[in-house]
Amino acid sequence: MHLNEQTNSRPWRIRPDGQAKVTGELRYLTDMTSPGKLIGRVLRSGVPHARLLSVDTSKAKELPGVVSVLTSKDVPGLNGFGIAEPNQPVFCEDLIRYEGDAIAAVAAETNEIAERALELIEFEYEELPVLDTPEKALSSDAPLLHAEGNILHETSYSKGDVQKAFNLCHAIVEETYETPRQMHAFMETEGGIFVPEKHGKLTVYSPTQHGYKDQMQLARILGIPADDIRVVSSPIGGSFGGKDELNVQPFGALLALSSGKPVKMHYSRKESVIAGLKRHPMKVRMKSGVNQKGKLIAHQVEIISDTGAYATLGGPVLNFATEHAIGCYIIPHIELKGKAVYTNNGISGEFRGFGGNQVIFALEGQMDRLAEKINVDPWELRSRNLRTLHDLGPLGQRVLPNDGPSQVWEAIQETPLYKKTEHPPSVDEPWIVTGKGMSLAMHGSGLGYGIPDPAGGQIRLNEQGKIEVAFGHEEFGQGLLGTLEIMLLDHFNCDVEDLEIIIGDTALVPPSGSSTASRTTNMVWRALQNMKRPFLDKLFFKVNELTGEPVEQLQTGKNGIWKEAKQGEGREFVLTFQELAASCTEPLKCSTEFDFPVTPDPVIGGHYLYGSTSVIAEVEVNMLTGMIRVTGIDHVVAAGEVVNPLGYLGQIEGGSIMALGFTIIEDALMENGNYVTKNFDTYLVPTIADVPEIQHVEAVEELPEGDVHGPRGVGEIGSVALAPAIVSAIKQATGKWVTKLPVNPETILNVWDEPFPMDKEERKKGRERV
Amino acid sequence: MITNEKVWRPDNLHDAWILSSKLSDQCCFVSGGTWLRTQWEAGTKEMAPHLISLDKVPEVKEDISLKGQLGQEEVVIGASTTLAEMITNPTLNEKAPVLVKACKNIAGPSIRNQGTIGGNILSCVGDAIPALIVLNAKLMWFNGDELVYQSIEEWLLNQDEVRDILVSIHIPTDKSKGEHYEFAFYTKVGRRESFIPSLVTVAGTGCYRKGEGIFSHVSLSVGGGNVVPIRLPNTEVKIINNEYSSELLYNVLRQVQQDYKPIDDAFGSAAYKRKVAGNLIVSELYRIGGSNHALE
Repeated sequence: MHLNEQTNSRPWRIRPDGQAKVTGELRYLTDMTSPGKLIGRVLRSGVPHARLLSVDTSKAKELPGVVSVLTSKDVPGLNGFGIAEPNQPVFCEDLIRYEGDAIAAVAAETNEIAERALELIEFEYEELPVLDTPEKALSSDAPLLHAEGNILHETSYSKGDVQKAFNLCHAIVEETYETPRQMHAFMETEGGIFVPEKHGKLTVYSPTQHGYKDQMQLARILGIPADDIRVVSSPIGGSFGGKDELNVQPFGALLALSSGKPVKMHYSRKESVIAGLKRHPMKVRMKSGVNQKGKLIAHQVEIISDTGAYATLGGPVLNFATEHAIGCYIIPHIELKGKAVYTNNGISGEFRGFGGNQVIFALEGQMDRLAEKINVDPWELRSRNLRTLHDLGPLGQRVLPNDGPSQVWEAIQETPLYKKTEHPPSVDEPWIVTGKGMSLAMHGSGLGYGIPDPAGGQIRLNEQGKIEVAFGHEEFGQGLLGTLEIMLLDHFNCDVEDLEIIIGDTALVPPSGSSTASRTTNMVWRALQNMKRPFLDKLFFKVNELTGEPVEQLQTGKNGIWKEAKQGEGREFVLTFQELAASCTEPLKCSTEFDFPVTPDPVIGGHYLYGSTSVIAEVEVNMLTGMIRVTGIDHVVAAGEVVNPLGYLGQIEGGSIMALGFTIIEDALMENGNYVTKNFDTYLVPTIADVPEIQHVEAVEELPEGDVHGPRGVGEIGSVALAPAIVSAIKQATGKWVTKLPVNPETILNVWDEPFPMDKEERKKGRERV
Repeated sequence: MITNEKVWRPDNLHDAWILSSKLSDQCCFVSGGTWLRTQWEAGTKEMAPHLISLDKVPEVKEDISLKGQLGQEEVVIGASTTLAEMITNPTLNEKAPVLVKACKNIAGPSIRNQGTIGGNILSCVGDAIPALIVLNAKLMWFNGDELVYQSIEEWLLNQDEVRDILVSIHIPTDKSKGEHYEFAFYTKVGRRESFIPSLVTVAGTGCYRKGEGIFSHVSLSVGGGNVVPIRLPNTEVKIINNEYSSELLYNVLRQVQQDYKPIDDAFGSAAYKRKVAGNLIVSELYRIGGSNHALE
């Protein structure tokens, strides 16, 4: 299905939250206020590595207008958080491990007073050597950042005999690839309002990708039952993984409970940069070899990820990277090792693509270089090595039959950009050279084997006579509300006015697991599949009871229940949803609980469901500056049925633009453990002027026979494979292979001695060559 | 909290000057405030306790106009003219399109609605400066007693301590360069396509006698990053009274390498910026002189 043009066969619906968002009318949680609220602020260490000797808050406490000043001594429960491993202290106790580490927090009547109070807090420390690279952190004499050492997590996988296999290779490529510290750059920075309730309870209005997880983590910190905390978590002004982990919540919650007053917190962009998560910078060394026929026979990989000061999801990200460093290729001999290394840099964590983007850049780079080395078309080389329908997964685990990689391999050859013919450099601008490149990837959905991955939902006819669904998922811009609306309209043939969708509030919704890992669309689809029949049975049984109409002839429709059409007659209206609801003493409801489908084989982090994508990119390289302009991108995505065409297109375009930034401009620079790029004036994200005018998106919807798992999420897949395609296009334009992202214009510029063939004859020759 | 911070709004140049002399380093002139705010936020500059706005001073608010007699005309721009006003002004578009182009390349629309030409100049690294240099712009200052003129190029060489008030910018539109084809170019390179600080900016003006293929009256300027823009007199010499040729391009490329001394920063090495500056200039000469390349 070509997604760029509206067709009548599919629902082409504007997202329900769209207008309020573009007009700025929508109130995010960080726009909320409360009478008598205090302002909460956090004192950061400002130094990347030091022994904390003392903290003196006495002067701050004396300042008029200051209500509460907290340090590590004031945490009633666990002084720590982290989704996978709670090793990040809410407040530092004795060791400062990064410049964003919290020393203390203040609640005061105004922001100015809070700021002054932070200045009055005195803390003494003794600086320690800064471990600002994984290499330094891994050296034998490095000080330990955590009791267990400087390695958060290690992965390994091997099969066959790589060393022997390399000896038999016809061609081998060995290269080290480096990727940047990308920032999520969400529009709304971290924040929220924290309201103490009666009997020591608390309501938290703060964005997150998993309200119930925040509730659990906060209960652990506050030392109160989880049920005493209500988390309201949507709508969210962007997250991309960056608000999956706790951020302001521990401080806001502690300050609200200690002061007894509502506390508002909202990070400045600068504080968000310093304290917030980033994408893991990775160094990926790959050695890959093929035989005479161009079949991959040996693949050796070493991944080093800079996970920063604390764990959060650094371990699972490395697991994901490990699996995707093999991806959709069939290789008999593999040796793979990964290390997530603690450093004194900013914390790395969850980010759209979850470690896939980094290794796919490396893996696809290897395929292109191998093809060049043995003089085979790079797309042909991929074809010779792609998995087929019933092959095992990358880590040898059983997976759902999947031939997505072949489907996208094929379909990309029908895209406009693939078919576009090349043109020689123009006479007017002989310094502009162009190239095209392609790449391919398979991307796992769900959290993977070994990580609890529950899902669920609830449906009922509520008191107002609306079909109400409730999910513990979040809306952070990805379009959940729009997609849910389309699914519900499809199931119940009713009006939008007959629906009520409830998300993002632990007081109102059942646990549904996290809104991450391209799992949400799939999970709400399955939940509705599970609940539809029993829910309709309940409705129709009740209608039958009330009206005597036969159950088997009833159906839902606009405004209420209808009786199906007899031959020659129209269908007949039976009663409204409101009438039905009014006649029930209790709402008619159903719920479901299940787990994300997972491989039966005990391979930690291994996936069972995958989406696939291929992408083609066209670039212009300016020989005057070495700068890259991406002038065209076309995508093919195989992820099952397209439920919401506009949402799907938005996810692929958006993911792709994020990947464009990752490839050519985005990098949160750090020097000696301190951020250099502290705001959007130096940390650059693409603007509309940096992206191609159109990205064609083709969705391959056919799933293998017997695949009943429905539509896969596409929240990440648009972002995973673009970098290697751009780098391949740059190679075609310049002859230069890039190994480090973002592409440094200086390395490109150094390809040439002169900015364009300044001699007329040379120019002519250049054009003739093309 | 007690603060002594204050925003002053004098309504004439004398009062403004006396105020700024009295408050000395405790004050700062603010117009659009776009660049100052960025520095305050980044912590690279302290916000002065006293801010002086000149929005009530008629001289700095003067509308863009054409003044003087035929042959000695100049465009006069009040220092507090916003960049957006410059972009849409018909006189400026006709008489100094290269300056308009420079303004269009500064920041984004919301910034251009607030940021002023005066502020851009007084930052000493503003993107309008290379264009003003090649247009031989003069600055009019109020020094407490009188209004004095100074060429922007001269001021940039000794801009360490600004005590005077920048009142207006004057751009000569004299046609004495002759009847020949007149060229002007401005190119800014940043790390992305728009809304971006400059890494390298070049500007140039001059004449090119098409029939003979000879350059004359060439002015070149280069800046970018945190470097105060300079003029490139030695490079100009390599071009003036010379014929367009690939040899000329090579000579210019070499000379720029010698003349321009940018500095390394986190986003680009000095060597890179130097090379780009040379490349941009020769590409513009190619556009002008290689015009019969259409026949290639």
